[in-house]
Amino acid sequence: MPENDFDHLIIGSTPLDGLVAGQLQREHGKRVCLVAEPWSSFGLERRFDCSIEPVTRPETLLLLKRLVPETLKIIGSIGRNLTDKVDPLFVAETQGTAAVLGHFLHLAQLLELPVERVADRSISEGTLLRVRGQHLIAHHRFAPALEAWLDAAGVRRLDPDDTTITIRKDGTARIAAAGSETEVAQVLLADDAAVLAHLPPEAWDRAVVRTLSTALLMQPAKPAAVPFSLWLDRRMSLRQEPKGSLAATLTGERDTAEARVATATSRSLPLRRAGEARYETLATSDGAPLLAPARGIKVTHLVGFGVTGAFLAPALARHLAGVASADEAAWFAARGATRGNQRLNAAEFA
Amino acid sequence: MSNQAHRLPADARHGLGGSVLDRSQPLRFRLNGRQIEGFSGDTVLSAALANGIQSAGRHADTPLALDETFAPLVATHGGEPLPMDRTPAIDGAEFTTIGIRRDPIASSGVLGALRHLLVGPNRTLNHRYGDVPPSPEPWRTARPEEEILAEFAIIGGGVAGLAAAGAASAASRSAVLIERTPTLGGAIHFFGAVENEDSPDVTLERLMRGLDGKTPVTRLLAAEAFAIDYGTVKVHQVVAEGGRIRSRVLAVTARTVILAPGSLERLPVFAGNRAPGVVAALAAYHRARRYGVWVGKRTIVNTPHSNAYRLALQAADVGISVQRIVDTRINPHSRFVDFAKASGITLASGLVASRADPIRRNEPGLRVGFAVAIEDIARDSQTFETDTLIAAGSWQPDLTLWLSAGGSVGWDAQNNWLAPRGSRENLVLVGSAAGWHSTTAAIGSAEAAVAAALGKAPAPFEDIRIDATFETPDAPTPVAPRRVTGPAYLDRGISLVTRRSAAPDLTHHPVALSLGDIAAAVQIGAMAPRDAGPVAAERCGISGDIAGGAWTLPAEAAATEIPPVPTYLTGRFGPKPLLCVVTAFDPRHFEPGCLVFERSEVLDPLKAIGVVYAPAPGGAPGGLAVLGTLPASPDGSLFVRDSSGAVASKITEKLKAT
Repeated sequence: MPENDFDHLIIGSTPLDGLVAGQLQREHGKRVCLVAEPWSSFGLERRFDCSIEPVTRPETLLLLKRLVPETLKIIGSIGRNLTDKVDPLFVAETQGTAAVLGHFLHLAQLLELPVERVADRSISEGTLLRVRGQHLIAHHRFAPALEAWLDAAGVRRLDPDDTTITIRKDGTARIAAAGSETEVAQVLLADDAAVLAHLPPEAWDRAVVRTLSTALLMQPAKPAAVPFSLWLDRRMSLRQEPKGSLAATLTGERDTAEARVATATSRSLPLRRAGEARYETLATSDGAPLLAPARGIKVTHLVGFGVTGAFLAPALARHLAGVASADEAAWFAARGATRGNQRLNAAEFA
Repeated sequence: MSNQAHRLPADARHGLGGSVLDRSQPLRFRLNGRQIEGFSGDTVLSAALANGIQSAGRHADTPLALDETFAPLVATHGGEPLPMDRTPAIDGAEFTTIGIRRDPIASSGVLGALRHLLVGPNRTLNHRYGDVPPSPEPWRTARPEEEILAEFAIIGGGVAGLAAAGAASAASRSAVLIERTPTLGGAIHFFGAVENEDSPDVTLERLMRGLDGKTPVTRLLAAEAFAIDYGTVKVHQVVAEGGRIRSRVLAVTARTVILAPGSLERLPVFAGNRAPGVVAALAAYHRARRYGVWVGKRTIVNTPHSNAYRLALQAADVGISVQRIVDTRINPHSRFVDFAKASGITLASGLVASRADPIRRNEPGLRVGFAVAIEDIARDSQTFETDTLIAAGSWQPDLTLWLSAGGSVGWDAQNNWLAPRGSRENLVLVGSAAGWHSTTAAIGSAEAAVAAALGKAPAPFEDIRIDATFETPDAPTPVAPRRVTGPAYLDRGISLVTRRSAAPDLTHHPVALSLGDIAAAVQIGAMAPRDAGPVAAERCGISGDIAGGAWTLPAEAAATEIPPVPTYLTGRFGPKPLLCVVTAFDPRHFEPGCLVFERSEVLDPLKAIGVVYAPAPGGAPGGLAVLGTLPASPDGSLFVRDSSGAVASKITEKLKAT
């Protein structure tokens, strides 16, 4: 391989994508090019990255339990104070989602995670679980530090606006940027925007579905009861910032997004609208993360890694570098392409 | 009318005596208990300003000027909240401002009168800003009480809006012209004519005549268009009927919506830029022209363009002492500079206002400092005391409604403003909102938009710009060097973003932003130009409260005695799991999620042989479990882990999956 070429091209702008790029270059000696939107400290929060979410597969929770400290160590090497300590609250308002939380609760208890039931009707009359001492990536502090860390590691960072990427059927690619061209051996389309931009829908895995999402920024009249919560039935994440703003991301019907927020936060009403973004996202129909080759083209696409995706970065980097542990390899294999009913064995609440 | 210290004479030159006032009809009303005097035609805001109320209140310790972009809502006793700048002043009315106030102990009654006598009239509405959202504008969520159908809905009654309405009328098409102020004509007199354009009076008269063409144009004045949704414009209008004030929301549905809202004047960035007494050039002009209001007898002008010279000259003509005109441009030249020199006004250039501080609390008067407009040159000029600082800024096309209708914008580096990008079906921007500079182009773009909507070929037009040889081009909005400390806001209005708060992070600033905020953030280097458009789309044109609406939780699947195993358990216990009722040796119920083990000491969830996934049928004790294998123990015993630990249990029933 010529000196200037890359082993991996990662296209994506999430913390997971940056961490994987950095780990591949730093820990596994790969030459990595990351095509990511430069960090903007002004856009609305369109995702949250937390160290826990209510998963129902024990192997996922076991993996997370092991990877979270490892990921935090990496984040600690990127900079100080890049995560916020939170006690996330999971809310289920129907019997079906209460059962999901029940499965999560018992798994988490066996794994000695600090999970507890909460009874607070002012938040919801449904089932509430709180997990203490978790970590939420503070994007506005994390992203600038990540960029510096990637630069120091030698990861080539490119702006998608200034880059032309030609992906071939065999999964290799050519990158044209700043007047020069380079070759890439493997391509990972690592976030929804990258998949939407570079793969036609017919090339998506059959499990991938198009979804609509809404991000809202609000000024509540009163502080919200909890700093970070996931509402399963509403498909909603809520984050109260220390400065007082309330940010929400919701998937699904746009027309009901406001109502889903408003009826969940009646204690904080009125909620004054301060920002709104509507955008397209992807999900998997079975709720399980997907890391699989596209159909008819050998690039890998990554979809549905959820709130905890960033904390799986070390394992994903090992997997891409071909040095994953047996349990990690098995975990990724079960979340590969849809063939027969294989993915069903990894299905999560969807 | 002794209380109206800030009213110009009725016969003030240049039409600055208040075109909408009827001075033969004086009136009095109360605002937060204070008596306000005015004239028929005044709004509550204009009368308050004329009576010396200059401050809306405070943001932390910073006093904030009361102006057209920043005024609390008002209500009469038991009435609905109304915008102060569009609510007519009514004789005998009692208005109260809405929001968090911290009035002095003695603000009304005998004690209030005594306080008034001792310390002078209260010059502030005493509101407190920053901690909680300002009061919502209830009309934004109100249902329209009337729908008007027309071929064209035209938003903005300035030159471009009038031209569009006239073109529609001439083509025998119905048009509704929506203007948020009580007068038509916009800022044509402020900007004047260039090159060989007709005078503003001639142009305006011609345009006004056009409204009564083949099909007369319906005019909605003092009516704010606040939303556009698929060809329907929602309009809020405040009207006085029989001595009572009411507001109404109208829906104007049109085949084509023409947006002609004009331009917004940016706020120069310097410490104290929203202090009472600091006013935008265009706002100062409109106040004088419509309501004859000018605060104080002394004025200093700081400007990056030549238009403010005309205002200064007119102010001087009506008896205002224009102490100096300070231009941010270095050695600017224009005919107005020459006129100002000739009239004896002191001129300075290459300086920006660096700070404005009230001289004394609750009294008019500002101390204004200037600085060399270059960041690295730490040289401040002397300070001056004045009553009003006209702090002129550059222009920003008003794209707020365009954004709220789903339009896109991007940063235009040449003009230093956010410009529209792309197009929207049946929605057309014209005039200065579309980026045109001259009256000629404003009219041309409006007429072209109507022609295009009617399927006709638009007539060509040109945008007349004065050559730089004859007039120094406008400079960007003045920005003071950072070394001067103190809260410097990025824009007027309710967002209250300061230079300091914008720099690290606007993502979590929990209020909607204005176009001016974003343009200023780009100009001071806090925001990358490429981010300006996307951020504007997310944060501008957003308003109101999050509405509850009708949303219900997803419907549960119909209850069956043996519910199906959830998909998230598929394969977890092998390809052919068994469904069993597991029961403890006591009458306890197991909740979904309780894991089933063969041995009590096992804690590894991967070694579970099953899990309870539903209550036992018929409400019986135990639970319904899915098992990968039957327990190997001879008696079939197993252990279900619930919150109390491993509970010895047994299979009491084997079921067939449904």
